[in-house]
Amino acid sequence: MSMIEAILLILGGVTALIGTIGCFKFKDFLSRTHAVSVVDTFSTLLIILSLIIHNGFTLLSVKLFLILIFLYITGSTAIHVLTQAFLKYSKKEIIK
Amino acid sequence: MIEANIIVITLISVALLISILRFIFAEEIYTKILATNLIGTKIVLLILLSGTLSIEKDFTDIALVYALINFISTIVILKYYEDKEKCNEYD
Repeated sequence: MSMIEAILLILGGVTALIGTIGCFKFKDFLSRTHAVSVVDTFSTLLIILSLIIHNGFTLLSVKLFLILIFLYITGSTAIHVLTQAFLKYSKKEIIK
Repeated sequence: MIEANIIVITLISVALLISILRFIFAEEIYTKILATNLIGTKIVLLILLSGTLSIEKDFTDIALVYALINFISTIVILKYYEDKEKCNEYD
């Protein structure tokens, strides 16, 4: 058991928990998107990096790297589209 | 590695429970779609972690397919509700 893998893995898990608690506690929708983006970018980066270090340079690591790139692109795109729809169609007044 | 894996699987499961509660108690539809996105990302991470625990190494492909379906479902549900809002605007 390597120390670096364990530290990266536990940091990723703690980041996922913090982002989710933030999504539960914030009052506004736009603040919640901020908390969800933490989980989408930082937590996936740490956990998949730890798994790549654990597996070494194999085909499995290439697949994990592809999943990381895919989650980075699609997570940001989905939240961007969601926020644009909220700004366009929401009935609530937004504090500027 | 095994002990850290079990700790992280527990942490992500607790976070999954909290995000399901967020989905249930959401006031508007946009927060519900956001919670769906959150749940999907966490399930991808859980599939990857349990794949390293077990002997089977094919779980990575399943995680890739799950990430694809998660993205498509978010966009399609959002497009459905956007069209509905547009129809309400023209009435």
